[in-house]
Order: sequence, then structure tokens, then C-alpha cells
Amino acid sequence: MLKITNYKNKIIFLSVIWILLLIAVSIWSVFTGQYPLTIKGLLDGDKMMLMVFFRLRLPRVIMGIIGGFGLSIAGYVYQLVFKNPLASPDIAGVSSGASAGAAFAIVAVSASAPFISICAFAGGLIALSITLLTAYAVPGKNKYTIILTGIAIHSVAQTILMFLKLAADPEKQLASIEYWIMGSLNGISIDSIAIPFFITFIGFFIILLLYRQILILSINEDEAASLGVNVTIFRFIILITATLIVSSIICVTGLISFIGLIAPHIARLLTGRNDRFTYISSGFAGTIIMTLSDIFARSLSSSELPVSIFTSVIGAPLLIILLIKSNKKEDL
Amino acid sequence: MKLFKKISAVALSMIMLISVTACNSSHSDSNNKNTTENTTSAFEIMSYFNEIGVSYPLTVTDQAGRTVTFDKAPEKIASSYYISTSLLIALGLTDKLVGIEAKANTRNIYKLAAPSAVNLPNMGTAKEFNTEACVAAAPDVVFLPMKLKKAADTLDELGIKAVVVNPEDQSLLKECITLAGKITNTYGRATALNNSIDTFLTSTKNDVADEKAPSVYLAGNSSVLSTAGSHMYQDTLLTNAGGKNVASELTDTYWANVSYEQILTWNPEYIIIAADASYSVDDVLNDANLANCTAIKNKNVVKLPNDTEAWDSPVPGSFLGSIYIAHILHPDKITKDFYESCVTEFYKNFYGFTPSK
Amino acid sequence: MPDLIVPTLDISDVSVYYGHKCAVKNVSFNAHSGHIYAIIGNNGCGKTSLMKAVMNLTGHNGICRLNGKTLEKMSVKKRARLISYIPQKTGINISMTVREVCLLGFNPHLRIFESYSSNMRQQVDKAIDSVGLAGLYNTDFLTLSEGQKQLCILARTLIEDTPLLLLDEPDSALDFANRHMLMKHITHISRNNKCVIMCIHSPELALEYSDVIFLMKNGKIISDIDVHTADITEINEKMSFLYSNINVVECADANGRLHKTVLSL
Repeated sequence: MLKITNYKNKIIFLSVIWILLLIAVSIWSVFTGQYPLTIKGLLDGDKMMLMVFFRLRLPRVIMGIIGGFGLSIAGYVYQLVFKNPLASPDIAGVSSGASAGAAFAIVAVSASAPFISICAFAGGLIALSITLLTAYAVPGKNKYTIILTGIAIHSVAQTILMFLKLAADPEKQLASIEYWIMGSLNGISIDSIAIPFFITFIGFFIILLLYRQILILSINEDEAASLGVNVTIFRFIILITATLIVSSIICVTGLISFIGLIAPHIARLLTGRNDRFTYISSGFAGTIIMTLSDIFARSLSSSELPVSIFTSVIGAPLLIILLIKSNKKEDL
Repeated sequence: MKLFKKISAVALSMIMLISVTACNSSHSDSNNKNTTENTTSAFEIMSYFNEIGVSYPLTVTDQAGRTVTFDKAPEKIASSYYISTSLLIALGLTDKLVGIEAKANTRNIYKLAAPSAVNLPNMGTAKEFNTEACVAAAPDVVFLPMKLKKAADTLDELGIKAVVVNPEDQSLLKECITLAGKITNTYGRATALNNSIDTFLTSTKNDVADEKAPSVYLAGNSSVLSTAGSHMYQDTLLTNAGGKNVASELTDTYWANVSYEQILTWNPEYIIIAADASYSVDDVLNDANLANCTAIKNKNVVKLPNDTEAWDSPVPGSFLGSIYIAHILHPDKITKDFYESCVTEFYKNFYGFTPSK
Repeated sequence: MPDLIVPTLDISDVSVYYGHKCAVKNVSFNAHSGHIYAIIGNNGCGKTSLMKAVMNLTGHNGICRLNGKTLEKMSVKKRARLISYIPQKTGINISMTVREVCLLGFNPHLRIFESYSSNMRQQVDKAIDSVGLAGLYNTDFLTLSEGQKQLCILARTLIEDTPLLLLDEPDSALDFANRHMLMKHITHISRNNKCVIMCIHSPELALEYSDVIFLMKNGKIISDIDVHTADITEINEKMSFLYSNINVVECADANGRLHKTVLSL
């Protein structure tokens, strides 16, 4: 690998790499799929091709980009705020809450996509709120309080999910629940990407603007307070923002595992820091892994495969390679 | 005793042979005579219940390869699988049922043919067998699906005779019907059932054999984006009905998930939705992502009827699913009248009720 | 000059309870700017709890005032502009450069979305130079030695520029040389009209670097020593309240300056 000593040059180098990679995988992704699209056909205005391109292909590619980016920056924030390298949306019970919400929608009401999304979103938020409220209500809290509460809420949500699965019709509802939990970018329509896009976009900037406070939160409560950060308020704002991003994405895609855990580590190993650029890099790393995973998920066979398989298959070796290559310890 | 068994076996095979010839002749009839006559003659086979006695003790090999011996015809029967339950009703054994599978109240066929069965003790689901409830019901025989093979062995240890059935495809269904008929001493009725199924399937297949097979997309229960590949029973139904499954390249044994793009690439002429689907024909017709698909443009989207049974699972009446699809794909060859008469006659003869049209 | 009339820090009747356990019992004292106050006592005597009470990090009875203003009534941010804190060991455990760590010291002075100015960056570099870490601006904080880490945190404290400094056993992880270097920097800071209060384990360091020593036992301040005026007998007598087996003696260094040193018996 190139040896770059100056951090400014490193930023420029990595930025160029990220943008080139993003363009490359996006183009690859746009021209991968079951329907044979040709540039010529698109330029000639083939009605069918245009429809496939704008209604199906493009929304899916965009959702992959938003999803990978959002899940990764949220994971990055979770890892900092919880001071835990294994933190991911699951640590506050968010994704299991969302799964329980989606399962509730499928079993108790109907399997219509918008309704599942709303319920998943609500489930994620309820889980996070209970986690935070319980953690604040516990006397003598320490840095493990939130994590332990999160684990408790996570198990409760898993239990609810199990009950719903038990109650589900094995032929149709159970299959829907399983498929939702496995996560997929299949069936993304142009209408469903607007909300995740705006929430991720706004959330990204909120986190960027509050970045200094997030760094201070990553130290510890006493030191953070002595540096003038109201831990309770800022932790709440920041976690809510990250959770909104995660919920808005997974309520459309279903659970997509591993990206939120692995992309931040990859970014950190590349920059060796925890600055704003690392934060943005983790978004890019997530986007690229997600887009690649989705390319494989939809092109390896005629049937759709769960995208989570590939996020792990691509992400895990990448992380291991970087870990071996970096002579510096992973610090977080 | 052995001699008697041999004799009866020979007798049985003779009867089988005769019925097969009867099949063939009725089929050759159907080719020559006009439809009305053909159907009347064909429907007779449904009411032709020949009493064939079964001698006990009877040793059978179930579809999991286990051998079970019965000293006498079972008087109390339990079933924890909706296909075997439906089969037992078709064999006229409703009154002998002492327990059936969970969620029985969701199946229309029970309400129509055996309302009393709905309130029978619940033996659990295919995933979670309720052994204690089964022991409490004290059946002489329990019919279990392949998934519950383990439970069958447990029941054996508890002294309850369990029979595993595995009606995965048409020939296994036939085997299953014969097996159940022998065990429950309703072999004559079982034979009639098998003969009816064979006759109607064969005649339908032959009627549409020379037609051009339209391409069909089979939409699954949970979403329009799930479909049945060539290894699923739905594919058999469709092939028998003279259709071509666009997803035949898929070899999943369960509903496979596909993308909108994939459906558009296949561009099927027909979309047939599974009977238990959680969405409607209109949902599919109004799905903007499919608007350019031939099936949608020509409004060739239908859902398998579910007012009696889901024919896309290998229940005894599943051949009606083939006839239904055949009448959609080839209305000139298989008329609506013929399809409706088949449904009426079948349920009247074997299940004892007249389905509403 | 109100600062001359009102003591800089006025602790009155502070008690800290953890459940039924009393960690600090009715502690009152005054502290003035320009001086270093050392609180010594055995583990569990309530030193850290007292510090936390002053910073309002723990619930407590009693009132702490700084320059006449009640600390308990202030917002977290306002309090942070008045008090800076050096823990035993910083909680920073992610890769950040020394410069980034020190820049965090500006946080209490910045509005929520405001970012660092170039002037601030220059000030940070100066602060890093002044604690002797010149040239390490872009070094990963985690790769520093414990001593360098503490000096870096000290540089952050310089940036915070607060009238009151609280130090909780800042020397505990340091070796001999670093320990004295850190103390010298702290002495230097206090001359800049700051009030410094530090918890410390070693009576020797307290005698060497502080102006006043508070002796704490079982949650109470049992006595205090004015290091500059107390004679060796008084010091020995008061030290014996805490330590039964030490002896404070005076001796001269090579330059003839008198130092107090502690002998273990």
C-alpha cells in the first residue's frame, strides 16, 4: 500500500478513492439486474427499459447508497457514544424493536408494505425510548447501564417477536416475517426512498454539526460534563438522530446486519482517527459494501438472496485484511 | 391367514387393473363423444365406491419407511396435518376423528364438510406437535406430516400408533390415499378417490396436450415477489393444466423471492396467485411496477379459489386446481361449466356438501 | 476588587450520601485564587466525592459558591467555563490527535454548532508547547506515555482557562520525573491567579507543592496545615491524625533551599 505520511494528503487520497469507488459500483449496480438493460435501448427511448430503469433499477441503487451510508454513520455514532466497539443499532434494542414492529404489522393487521414500514419505525423508536428512559431511571448508573438496559429491551423485543412468529400463519405470515428480518432491497419503489433519504440526509448533518459534542461524549460522563457537555441531553439528541436514521432505513429494507458494525471499523483503520473525515469515510465504506452486496444479492441467481449474507461475506474479510495490515492496534 | 392375504392381494390388483382400464376407456370416450356425455360418464367414477375389505392384523409401511401393525380397524383417528385431515374427511371418517391440527378454524373445508371437527382437541402444528394432547385424545392411529417424524417415534414409545404421510407430489398423494384407505378400512373409497383424481387429471392433460402452453407466473402466498420453482407442487398443477412456469429454472423447494425486474424479464402471459395469498388480484393489477407486463396489460391475473381448499397444496382435491388453471389458460378446451361440475361432483361425492358457485 | 474580599471558592456544609452511606460529612472550607490546596487522606476518605460535589456530578447537600455565584444553579456549560477538571486517568480511549484533544477544551466557550477558529488552533499549539509536548500536535493521543497523556490533558486545561482547577490524583499513573514536572506546571498555572484544588495521595508532594493541606478522614476535614507558616512540630502532629508511622523532616537541597520530606518509620 502507498505510504502517505501527511494526513491532509491522506484525506485527499481517500476522498478520491471513495468517490471513484462509489461511481464505479453505482454504474455496475445500475447495469446489473434480471432485466437486460442496454445504454442503446435507454437512449432510443425503449418504453419498457425506461420504466425498468427509472422505476426499479435506479430507486434500488439509490436505496443501497442511502442505506449503506445511513446504517454506517449511525453505527459509527453508536460506537462512539456507547464507547463500545461492538455497538450497533441492536445495542439499544432498535433493530429487534423494529423487527417486532414489522412482525406485529404482518401478523395483526396486514402485509401491506407502507404499514409494515410504519410499524417497524414505531417499534424501533419505542425500543430506544424504553431503553433510554429505563437507563435514566436506574439509580447509581454507570457506563454499562445503557448497554445492559439495551440488552434487556433487546431480549424483550425478541420474545415479542417469537410470540408473533408463533401466532403467525406458517404459510404466508411467517415467510413474510422471516424475509423481512433477513433484509433486502428487493421491491424498493421510487416512493419509498424519499423518507429514508431525507432523514439520513438531515441526520448526517445534525451529527456532523454536533460532532465535537459526540467526541466529548465518547470520553466519559464526568469529563464530558467538565468540558461543558450536558451528557443527558446530548446523548439523547444524538442517539435519537442515529436511531431515526436506522429506523427510516430498515423500515424500508428490513434488517441488514453487519454494515453498521463493520463500516466504521474499516473507516477507522484507514484514517487511524476519529475525526469528521473518519465519520464520512465510514458512510462511504458502508455505501460501497452495501451496493456491492446488493449487486450479488440480485444477480447470482434468478431468485433474490438476502443482502445480509453478502454484507457479511464482503465486510468480514475486508475488516480482517485491514486489521492484519494495520500495524497499529484497533483502539476503540 | 397368509393364503387369504395373497388372495386378497391378487383380488386387489385385479380391481386396480380393471379401474385403470376403465379410466382408459372413459378417456377414449371423452375424445370421441361430446362434452356433456363425456362428463356424465366421467363423474360416475366418483360415486363408484366398491367395498373392499381389509384384513387385520395389517402391517403397513408409512411414507417415512416405518412399519406399523394394526390389529383392527382404528375407531379413533387423529391427524395433525391439514392434508391428511382433508383426506380422512374425503374417506368418510369425520365421525372417527378425535383430534386435528392447530388453526383448524381457518380452513373453509372443515366448516363446509365437517363442522364438528373444528372444535376437536388441537394436536399442535407441523412445527410444534402437542404430544400430551395427542395422548389425552387416545387415538387408535395418528397421521403426522414428515416434519413430525420424530414425534411419531415418541408416540410409538407411548404405545400410540403413528403413521407418517408425505404427500409432496401427485404420486406420493396417491400412495398416501391408498395407505390411509388401507389403515382405516376404507380402501374401496380410497380407490375411488384415486381413480377419480387419475381420470380427471389424465383427461385434462390430454385435452390441453396439443395446445400452445402460455407462460405463467405463479405468485406466492406472502408477496407477489415470491414464486414457485419447478420443484414445487404448484409447478405440477400448472404443467398438468397446459401452462409453462416462467420460473421453472428455480429449484427452491419453498417459495423463492424474485425481483420486479425478474418478472418483467420473464414477462408472463398469465399471473396466477396462490389460494392463500394475503393480497388480491387488484393489488397486482394496480402494481405500477408491473404495469408493462403482458399479464397485467391483458388483465390475465387470477387467484386460485380458496372457498373450499387451497388446491395449490397436495390435498385430495388439488387436481381441481389443475382443472381451474386449465379452464383459465384454455377456455375453449376446458369450459367453465366442466370445471364447476367437477368441483360440485367431487365435493358432493367425497365430502358430502355442495359448494356454492 | 471583590476577589480579595470574597473567597474564590466557598464550600459550605457539603454532604454526599450514596444511599445510606455517608461519603462526605458537613464539609466547609474556603479557597482563594493564586493558591494550591491539597486534600490528603486515605482511600475512601471522601476526597473524590467532595470533588464531584463541587463539580455537581453527584447529588449532595450544602452549597458551593465560586466568586459568589452558586455552582449548583448553573448550567453544565456555564459551570464548565468556571471549573476545569483533571481526572486520575482520562477516559479518552479512541484515536485522536493531541491537537484534537486540546481543542475540546474550547467547547465550553463555543456555541453549540460553532466550530474552532484558526486563532483557537494557534492557542492550542501554544498550550501544547508550554507543557513540553511541542512537535506532538498530530500524534495519536493513545500512543502517548501516561505522563505525556496527563500533560496533554493539562494543556487542555490551559485552554479551558477557568478560575478553578480540580485535580483528582493527577499524579497516580506517573513516574517520578513526570510527577514533578506535572506539579511544576500546576504551580505555574496557579500563579496565574487560579485557584487549584487537588486530591493527592502523597503527603510529600502536598508539602512540596501546595499552600494549604486539608486532612480528610471518614468524610470529614479533620484539620488543615498552612504549609508556609506551620512549623515542623505542628505538621508532624497533624499528619499523625492520618498516618501513624511517618515523620516529616526538613532538609536542604544542593542549592541550600529547604524542603520538607516525609520519612516512613
